Amino acid sequence: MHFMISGTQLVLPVINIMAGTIELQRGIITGVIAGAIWGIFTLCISSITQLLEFDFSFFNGIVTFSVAGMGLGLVAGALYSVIRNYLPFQNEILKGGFLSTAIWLIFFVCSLILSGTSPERYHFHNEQSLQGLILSVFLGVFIGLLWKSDKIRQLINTINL
Amino acid sequence: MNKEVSNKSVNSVLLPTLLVVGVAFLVTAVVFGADSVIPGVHDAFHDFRHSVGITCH
Ligand SMILES: [Zn+2]
Repeated sequence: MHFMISGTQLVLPVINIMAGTIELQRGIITGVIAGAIWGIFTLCISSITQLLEFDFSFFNGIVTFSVAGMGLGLVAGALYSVIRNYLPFQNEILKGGFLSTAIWLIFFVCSLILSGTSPERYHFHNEQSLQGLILSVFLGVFIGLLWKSDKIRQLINTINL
Repeated sequence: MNKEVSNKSVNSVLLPTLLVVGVAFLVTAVVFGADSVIPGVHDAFHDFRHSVGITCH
């Protein structure tokens, strides 16, 4: 009996790690796809609101916004897969929205600190920041939606990492 | 068996984790426009940075 318990205690962490990594890889892939969609979504919304003078054309923006979106999505999706069971929500979309907003807030607070330390370089624009806050919710919403998607699950099974 | 599990764990835990940490580093450079980290990143992602409301020019 004692031997059985210690055997289980030995194997359990390994099983947990294996299960956890499958989730991590699923989070990364889900995040990259959600992030690309969110990048284009952000470009479209920003092109409509016109809160900034664009340096580049919409078509150039498709590349840069989707690349930046994929990067942010990868990080957000990976974190999401690791901590989603510890978040105080049942709904995947709420979990995602909460997490991506939290990530944006961290970046935003850091950028505020930067504008405090070097005000000639980092300027605060309140409408742009409000837009950023609202858009940040959508990254997590897309991750939550895709997390539940059967198509993404099939894709992950097909590439089978 | 044990060795196989640990090799698999290294590949499936360590590599994705390194990927996430690396991308997080690059994303931070993109968000703050840190040309010292990636030359040209400030201008290339300038529209994106302003669109997501991070302090800039
Ligand atoms: Zn700027």
